Amino acid sequence: MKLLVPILIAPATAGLACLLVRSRRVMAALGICAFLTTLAMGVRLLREVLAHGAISECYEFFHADALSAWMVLLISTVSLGTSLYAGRYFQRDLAAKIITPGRMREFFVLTPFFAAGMFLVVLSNSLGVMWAAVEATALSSVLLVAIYNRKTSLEAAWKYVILGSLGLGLALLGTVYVYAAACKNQSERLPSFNWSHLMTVADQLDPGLIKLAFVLALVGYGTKAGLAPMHSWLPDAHSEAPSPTSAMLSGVSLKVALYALLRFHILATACLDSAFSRSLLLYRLWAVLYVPRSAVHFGAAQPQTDACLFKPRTRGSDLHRHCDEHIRHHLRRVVAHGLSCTDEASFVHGCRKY
Amino acid sequence: MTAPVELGSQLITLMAALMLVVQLFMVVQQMLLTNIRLFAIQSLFLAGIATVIGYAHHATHVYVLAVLTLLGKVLLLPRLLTRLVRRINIIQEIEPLLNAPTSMLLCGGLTLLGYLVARPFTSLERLGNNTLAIAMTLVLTGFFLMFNRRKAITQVLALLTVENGVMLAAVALTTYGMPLVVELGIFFDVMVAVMISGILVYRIRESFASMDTSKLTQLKG
Repeated sequence: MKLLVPILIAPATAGLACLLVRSRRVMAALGICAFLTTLAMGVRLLREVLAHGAISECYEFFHADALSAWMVLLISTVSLGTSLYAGRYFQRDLAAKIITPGRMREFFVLTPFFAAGMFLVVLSNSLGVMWAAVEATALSSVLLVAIYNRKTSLEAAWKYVILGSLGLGLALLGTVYVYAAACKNQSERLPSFNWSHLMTVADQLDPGLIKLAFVLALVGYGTKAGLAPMHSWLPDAHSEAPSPTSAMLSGVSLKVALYALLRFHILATACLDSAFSRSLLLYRLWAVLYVPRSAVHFGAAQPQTDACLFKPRTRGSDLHRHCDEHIRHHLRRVVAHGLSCTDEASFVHGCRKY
Repeated sequence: MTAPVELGSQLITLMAALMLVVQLFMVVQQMLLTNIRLFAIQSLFLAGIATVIGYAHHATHVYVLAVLTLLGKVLLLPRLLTRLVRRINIIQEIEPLLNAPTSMLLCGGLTLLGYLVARPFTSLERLGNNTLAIAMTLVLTGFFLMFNRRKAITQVLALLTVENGVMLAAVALTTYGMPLVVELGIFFDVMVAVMISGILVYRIRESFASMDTSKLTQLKG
């Protein structure tokens, strides 16, 4: 039975179904159902991958290894957590007339698509499709950030869409360079752009192009992941978004961008010697330490960026064996952070209530 | 090299150079609608380059890229942006931060930088000369356009020129461009990005009675 395709279809269907219904309760229930399904699928996927190794579907268009399965679980859990209380959250907002029913529906339609985009990022095999999916998550969350239509939320959304797209433009350039490196040796046939294929020919890729690609991906996906100094959109977007979206942005969306960066890092490590991309990531850690401004502004954002950077620092050289103990430890921290975001958001919700 | 490939290579070099010239026009051009038209012309050259590559290699999917660029970036997006400009009734002038001569000088410097960055990779170019250098320059001057302009729509235009530069790099470095599914993904993302920015511009205009992004200063991220 297929596992990967249903994980993508479930939230997309829920999003489309929300276009048709009017009742807030039904829309919230649809979201919960979709994420329960993906959570169950994610658990099965993880068991499958741990038992039999990486699996792929649809002529290797989708590909899942242990890292992807772990991310699927994380995305499903956080999305489920936020969708569980989103219904009541918007009930309050509707009662207080902060939000119109139309805008609320926008939330229930876009959130499953946002999640589906993130599932596509972690499950797609081609680096190009991965880029398109990251951009799709950015675009679907922009309207979620602007949902209250206040002056400040429009400002935050504008910063988010411009800085995010600009950063992702650089990441696309990096992706193009990786493809050019794969093209170099083949003059006739269109070479495969699949991650699983690229890893098998990693030692034949052009090292200069891969270096350039990694730097561009670091800046590009780093912008989306909120790494300093390209993080200025992050505190604004996260604080202006409604709490459920804020939890998803901070809990999973940043991790998904880091996942994309990690794929480039693994490829660069396999192609060049390990020191290059590791030292760059280390430099970024340095940069993070020197920009405490955002940490003051928005407490949760910066420590988590730190946490994400500890991973490459500690295990840079053998990261491509991404099932070793340290990565697991780190990924547990990622999940812990994701879950605490959900908690915090529901806590904020509780505070507003009383 | 056979004759058609030679000719194609020269045509590509010519059109890539024209893309750069149009970009420099955009840097000094003060009127908003003219800027949108210049962007359409630049995309037309990109579509032309894709057509030449498709013809030289008999590759159908590069033709698809050419048609998509023609429909999307030459016809649809400029029309959408023009309608948006007319609808929100804004003043035509762009009001850049730096004046025209300074911007021109800076962009000359950026062009040099683009050529320097691309030099180690010129042996990898498939067709045409210096197309990669021009692609890098388009990306760099796109960034310059982004911070030199205050109006929201002009920032969207700058973003689109960066994207044009990336697509030029894609066709310059690889034989046939990227795989079709990736091209389609990129194309639809760009379309949606512009539409979403359009929606935001409209809403910003409604709430702030302006689309000068230097007035977006309440948040200190």
